[in-house]
Amino acid sequence: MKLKLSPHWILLIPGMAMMLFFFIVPLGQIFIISFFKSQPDGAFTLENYSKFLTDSHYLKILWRTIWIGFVTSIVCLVLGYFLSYGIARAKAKYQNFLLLLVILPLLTSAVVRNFGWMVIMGKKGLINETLLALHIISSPIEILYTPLGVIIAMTHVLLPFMVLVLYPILSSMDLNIEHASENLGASPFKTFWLVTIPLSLPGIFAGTLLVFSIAISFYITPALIGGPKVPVMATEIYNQTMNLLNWSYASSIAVILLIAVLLIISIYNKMLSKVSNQGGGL
Amino acid sequence: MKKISRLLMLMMASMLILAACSKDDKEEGNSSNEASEKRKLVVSSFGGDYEAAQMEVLVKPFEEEFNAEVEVVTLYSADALARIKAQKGSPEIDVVQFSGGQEIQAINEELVEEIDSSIVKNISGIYESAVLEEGYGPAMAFDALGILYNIDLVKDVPTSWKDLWKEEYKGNVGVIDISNTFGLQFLVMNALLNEGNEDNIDPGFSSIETLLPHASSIVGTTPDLGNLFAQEEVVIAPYDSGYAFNFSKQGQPIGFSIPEEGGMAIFINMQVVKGTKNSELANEFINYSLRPEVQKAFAEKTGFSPTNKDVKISVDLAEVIPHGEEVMDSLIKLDWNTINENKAEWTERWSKLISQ
Repeated sequence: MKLKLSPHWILLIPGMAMMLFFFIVPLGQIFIISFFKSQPDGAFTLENYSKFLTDSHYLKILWRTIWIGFVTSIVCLVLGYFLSYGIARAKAKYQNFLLLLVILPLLTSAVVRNFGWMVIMGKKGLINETLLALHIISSPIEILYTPLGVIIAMTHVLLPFMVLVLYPILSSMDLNIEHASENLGASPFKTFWLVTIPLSLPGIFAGTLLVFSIAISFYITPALIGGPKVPVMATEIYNQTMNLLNWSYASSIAVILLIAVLLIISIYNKMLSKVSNQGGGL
Repeated sequence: MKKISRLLMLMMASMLILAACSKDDKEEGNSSNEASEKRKLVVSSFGGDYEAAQMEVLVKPFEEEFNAEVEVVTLYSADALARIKAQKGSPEIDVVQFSGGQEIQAINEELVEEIDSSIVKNISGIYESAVLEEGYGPAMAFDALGILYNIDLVKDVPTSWKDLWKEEYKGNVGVIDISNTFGLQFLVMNALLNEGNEDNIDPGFSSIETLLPHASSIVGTTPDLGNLFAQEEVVIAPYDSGYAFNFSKQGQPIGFSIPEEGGMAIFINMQVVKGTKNSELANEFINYSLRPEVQKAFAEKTGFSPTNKDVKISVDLAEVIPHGEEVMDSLIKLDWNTINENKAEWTERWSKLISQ
C-alpha cells in the first residue's frame, strides 16, 4: 500500500498528536471504564448504561443539564447580540475600550464571580432586599440554589464568549448592504431582520454552540449556585467520582453526556444549514 | 470522505491500544542517593485556617527538626481518598489526612499501610480509643458533631437533636447534604434516634423527610454554611465543634452544643500512603503530630481537641470545645464499614429526596 501524505497533513501532526494523547486517549479510557464494573471483579457490564437510562432521576439530571444549557445559550445570544451590535456600531475609538469591559470579567476566576453571586442572590442579598424595598415582592424569593440562579450566574460567566464570537462578524459586516436595503425602502427593523441577522448567522451558530457546550459541561456554577438540590451532569460525575468512588458509573455518565451533546449539535447543524444556505458548517 | 473515515478508524484503533497500555506508564524512581539533600514529604491538608494552623505548628517546626521539605496539598478527605486511589501503586502523596471515616475504606482497599511502631512512639501517650484501627495511624485530634446555632437569634441553647424541628426555626434550618460527611453522620444519627441504625437506615430517611420543610437550604460545603449563617438564612444546623470555633473566631455569633442524646465523634487522622518512598519520614511526621506541644498549639488555633493525655488546653478553650478522654469516649462512633457499603445507595436515595 502506498501512503500518500500531502503537506497539509504534515502540518496537522503536532496538533493531532497533542489531541491524541491528551484528549482522545483519556476519552478512550473513560469509554472503556464505563463498560466494566468498578467493584470488585471488574467484569464487563452494561449495567451502568441501563441504570442511567431507566432511572427517571438520572434522566431528569440529563434533561435539566440540557435545558439549563439551552436557556443560557438563548439568553446569552440575545444579550450578547445587542452588546456586540452596540460595540460594532460605536465610534471606532471606543470599540476597543468597550470590548475590554466585556472581557474584564474573564480576568477574575469563575469561583470568585460565583461567590459574588451567592451573596447577591441570597434571601438577604441585594436582589431580594431591593425588590422588598420597592414592594415588588412581599417575601424573599428563592434564587440561590435554584435552576434560575444557575442560569443567571452562568449567563454572566459565558456572555463574554458570545460577544467575542459575534463582535468580529458584526464589525466586519459591509454597512453598504444595510444602506442599500434602507435605500430600497426597508424600515430599520426590516433591514435588521432581513439583512443584518442573516449575514451574522455563522456567528450566531458558532456563539450559541460555544456557549451551549461550555454550559452543559460547567461544574463550578451549578456546584456553587445550584447546590445539592440542582444536580447536573457535571456535578453528578464529580459526586460519583469523588464521593462514591464509582468511576465506572461516572464514566458512563460522561459518555452519555458526550453522545447527547453530539446528537444535539448535529441536529442543530442540520437545522441551521437549512435556514441559511451558507450553513453553519462544522 | 473515505479518507476521513479511514483516518477516524485509525485514530480509534490507536486510541484503544494506547488506552489499554497506558495504565502503568507513570514515571518510576526518585533519587534518594543524595543523603545531604533535604528529604521531601508530601502531605495532604484541608485548606483554610486548618491548613494555615498546621503549617505553623506542625509543618514548619517539623521541617526544621528533620531537615525536611514538606509540601502540603489541599485535599478534603473524600478528594484525598479518590486521589490516592487513582495513584495506587505510585503515590505522589506520602501522608494523607482524613476526617470522615475514609481511613476504613483506605485500609480495606489497601491504599494505606500500617505505621511503624518503632517510630511512632508517641502513640503510647494518646487516649486508648483514639487508636481507630489497630496498627494504623491514630486520631491526632477529634471533635464532635452537634448543633451550631446563632447565639443572637436562637434564644434557648439547643439541648436535643429534636430542637432542629422547633417551629420557631422553620425555614432557617441548615440541612447538610449527604456528600458532606457531617450530613452523612446526621442521617445515621436520625436513624439512631428513631430506632434504626447503620443497617436499618429507613427511619433516618423518614426523619430527614420531616425536617426538609424546615430547611432553609441543603448545604453542601462549609463555605456555604458560613455564608448562610452570615446572612442569617440559617440560624441552626447540625455541624461540628471545630467549625463552630472557626466561625466564631471569624466574628460570627455562633454557639455550639452537644445534644443530650449524644454528639457524634469525628476523628482526624493521618495515614501513611501505601507504596510511599518516604515511609520513614512519613512515620516521623505522624509521630510528630501526636506530640503534646504540637497538639496543644493546634487545638488552641483550630478548636480541634487533642488526643494526647498529656495536653492541658487553656481554660478559655476548654469552655467552648468538647475535650478530654471522657467526652471523647461518650461520643457516638459509627460503623463506617456498613456506611461505606451502603453509601452509594443512600446517596442516590438522598438525591432523589431533595432534588427539585
